[in-house]
Parts: sequence; structure tokens; C-alpha cells
Amino acid sequence: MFKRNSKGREVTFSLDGEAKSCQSGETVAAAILALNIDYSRKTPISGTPRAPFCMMGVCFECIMEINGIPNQQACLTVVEDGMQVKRQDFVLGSDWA
Amino acid sequence: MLPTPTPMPFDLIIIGAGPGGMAAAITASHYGSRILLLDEQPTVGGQIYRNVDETAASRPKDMKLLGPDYEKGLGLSKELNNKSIAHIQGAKVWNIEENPSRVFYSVNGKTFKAQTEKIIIATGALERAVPLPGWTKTGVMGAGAAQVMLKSNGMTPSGKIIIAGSGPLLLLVADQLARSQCDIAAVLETTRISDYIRAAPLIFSALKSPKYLIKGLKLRASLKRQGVKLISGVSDIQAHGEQRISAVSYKKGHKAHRLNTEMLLIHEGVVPNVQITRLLKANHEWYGRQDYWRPVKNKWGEISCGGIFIAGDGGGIDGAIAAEASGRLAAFESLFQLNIIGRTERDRLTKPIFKVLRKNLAIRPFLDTLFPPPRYISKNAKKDTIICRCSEITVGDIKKAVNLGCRAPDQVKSYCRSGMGPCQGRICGLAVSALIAEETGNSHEATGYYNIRAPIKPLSLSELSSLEDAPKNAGAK
Repeated sequence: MFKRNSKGREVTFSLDGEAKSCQSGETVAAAILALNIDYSRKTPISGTPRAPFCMMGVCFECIMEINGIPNQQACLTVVEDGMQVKRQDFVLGSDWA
Repeated sequence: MLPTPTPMPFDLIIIGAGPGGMAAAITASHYGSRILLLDEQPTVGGQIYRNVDETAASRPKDMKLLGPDYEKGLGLSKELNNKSIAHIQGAKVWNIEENPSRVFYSVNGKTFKAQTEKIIIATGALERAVPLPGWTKTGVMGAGAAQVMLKSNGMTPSGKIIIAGSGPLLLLVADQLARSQCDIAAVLETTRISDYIRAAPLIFSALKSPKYLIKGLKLRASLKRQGVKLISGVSDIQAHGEQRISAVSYKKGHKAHRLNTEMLLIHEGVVPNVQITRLLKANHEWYGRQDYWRPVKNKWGEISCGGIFIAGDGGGIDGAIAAEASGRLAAFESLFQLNIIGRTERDRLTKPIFKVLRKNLAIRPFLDTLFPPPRYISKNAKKDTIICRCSEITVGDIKKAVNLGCRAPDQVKSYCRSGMGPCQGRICGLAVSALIAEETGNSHEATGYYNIRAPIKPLSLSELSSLEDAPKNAGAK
């Protein structure tokens, strides 16, 4: 959905176990938006895909599992080399007993 | 004999490193006071001067695009760094207690409490969330969010976009994206002719500070020159598509239109982020011209909780220059209350600041009238339109709760869980209250707002169990 307009140092991270790259200094949410994938999480109630919305830390639409910790605000987290990012797609009542 | 109280570790804790917070920290630092500046973003600047140091250092093209109003932030951020003011980036404040004042914050999964004499809250504003059909589809974002992408990450939308709504930021973002060669299908303005007529009598006050007016006219001219399609007096904006947006429909007059797009950037002005002042149970007042709540404050920015101040847009939307001025005023009054400066010195030093503030507030009645927020939630949103994005609560769900007798946002919240997701009502708060008021016919004041409780940021139990006192040199470089 977004494109980069300048060149910077490359950083690699993993998204759902797949190796991806972005540029140094970018937030996880921005890196995801630049990958042009369909969504960054699914809602826990209806399983609907969502993507980052406010980019300034208030809407919590961009929450992801980062380095094993769930519900991290991806727009407030800068990507680091080797970071493990996962999309949360559990739905209440199914994955949760 | 009473024991001598142990001095608090900090004189002043400032929350938020935008123009208000940075100016407050810089001002207080001149007097050797023990300051801690906490900010949740990766870099200083707030939203207006977001990431300004990095942009200046590595992206000169974007710096030029964002212009002198953005570049102005460099002065503050440089002074902040030169003075080595103790500040922590990525610090998320999740609670504040009073008597004694204590600020609880987390950094990288570890959490701290810091006792302080005074607190300045400078947490700014957020884009007003106005529910419209399809606004939860991927590809729909705030126009401010797109600007953050540019400031923070040097990125712009890659496909066809539509920018819709109203407010000064709408045209600014449109112009910046047009100048960075984005494919803008149209800019849909909800501003109507009647808004211009209503705002016209207020133009004389606005002329006291003509640079804002000139900037607005220049933006329109620039968009026209670049061939961007500007359509005003638009209503009934809807986002269409499966899970991702593919088209936008709208009405102009009685005629329906539809445009294909890959993204929709929506903007209906900005509103104060009241999460912390609500947590503190401070008194708030309704600002009817722009339909938002703001904490009641005195001329120094002190709210109804003594020794706690609000600076910047969190106290009412007045813009970056006013935010800087209000940050300095709150800092001087804090220094006075701490007996670091005397009354005469405070009054002498703040006289020119009040002058700057007055000058920059002169435009507001005009702007606030010209760009009114959408007055009725149910006018644009349908029954099945989501209003609380976190808990997926629809307009129909809220109406049903009101029909069953709920009269206040907290009753609705207990009934259907609106405002109980991770954003804790930051996004749906104003809209849910407005919808309740529409349904009951009660005033906004009588309807009220969600009760906000700590922790105001998601906090894991392991994080909470790591709670310890902040070191006295926290944030020192």
C-alpha cells in the first residue's frame, strides 16, 4: 500500500516465519504497509482482517506479536535485525478454549 | 518535630515530546530543575514535528516537501539534545497517581514508577474518528496517518488514493502527497458553502494572524495547479470492497458518484487526547464549536488536579506554535510553585509568551467554524457500520442499548463492550457519546464520556511484576 522514496540501510526481520526486509529506522507497521500484504492482524471476534489505521499509537489496529510478546503496537516499534513478527489471527471461542 | 520530608526524585515529569512537551522541558532545564521527559514514540517531535531530526539528517527531499512549518521543530529538538535533558523515548505511561504524584511507565517490557512534584501532560491530539460505512476495510487510514508515514518513514501511498473529509490538515496532506507524485483520484471535501457563510464574520479576528489564511489559500492554488480534482460539499462517503477497499462512493447534492481507488485517507479534524486527564478524573468541558471534550484549565494550563498541567493540543486544538507557548507557560508556573523562581520573574518572563499565544489563538474561531465536525453520527453511518473498531460494535448495537434504557457511555459499555478493547475508547469515545446523545436527545454534557481507568496502555502481568522505582538519573544521557 506504501512505497519507499529513499534508500537506507537494509534490515531483515521475519514475518510469520518468512524472511522480509525493510530499511533501518522504519516501524514494524510501516514495514508491513510497504510489503503490500493484505492485513496485519485479524479481529478476535469475527476474524476480519485489519491494517494499521492511525500510525500514532492510539487506535491499536496494528497490534502484532513481536519477539514472542503479543499485542505490541507495531507503529511504535522500530524494526530491528532478526526481529520475529507474527500476525495475530486467533478468534475468540475457537483458538481460545 | 515533624520529620523533614524526603525530596521527591523529580521536580517535573513531562509526558509527550511534541512542541508543548519539548518547550516545557527546555524552559524548566534553564533553572537546573530535575526533569524527566517521557515519550512513547521512537523519536522526539510529537506528530507535528515527527521524526524531524532523522528526516533532516537523511531525507532532504522530504524535508523540503514538508516545509518550514515542519522544519521549525528542529530548533526545539536540537535544544533538547544540546541541553542533555533527561528523556526516554518508547516510554508508555500507563498510570498516574496523585498525592504524592507518581507516574507509572513502561519501557521495553520493564515498568517503573517515578515520584514527582509537578506533572505536565503534553500528549497532544488524535484524528477525530468518524464512523463511515466500510471504514474498517484495509486500505482505509487517517490522512494524518499517511502524513506520519511520510515524516516517520519516508513512504507515500503506492496506488490510487482518495482523500476525504475536512479541516486544515486535509488540504495540507493532499498537497504534500500530490507533490510527491501520488496518484490522487480526488479530494472530497465535506465542507459546504454554508460553512463558509457561517465562518465569514469571524474572518476579522483571523486576520490578526494572516499567515494561516495565506497558507490555506496557497494550498488550494497549489492543488489546482497540479490538476488535483477538488470536490466540495460532499456527503455520504462510503468505502466499498471485499476485505480491502476498491471504491469510494459519495453524494454531491442529490447525485451519487463512485470512484475506484486503492486507498481512502479520511480526516475530520483533530481532537484532544484526553486519556490521561480522564484517568485523573480532572474536570472537562465541552467545546461545542468543534464537538470535543477538553480539560478545564487556568491560564497556566493547570487542570483541576493541583500541580498537574496540560500543555498543547491535549488542552484544546490550538496548533503547534500555541502548544510551544503553553508548554513554556506551564513550565514557568511549575518553577514558581516549586519556589525556583519568584512571582515577579514568572510574570516578566511569561508576558511575551502570552502575547504569542493570543496571536496564534486568533485564527481558531474562524477555522473551527469553517470546518465543523460531522454533526450526526447516524447521518453517514448505517445500522451495520462499526463504531467501536476494537470490539466490533455497530451503530445498531449502540442504538439497541439506548433503546433498552442506557443513557450514558459507561452503561452502553457494560451492555455491549464498546470501548473495552485495546484502544480503550480513544477512537470510539466521542462517536459513541455523540450517538447516545442523538438517540436520547440529551445534551453532550448530560451524556458524558467513558470512565477511563488504569492501565491506559496494555500491560502484561510479567511487566507489572517488574515494577520498580525509576532511577534518579532515569533518561540522563
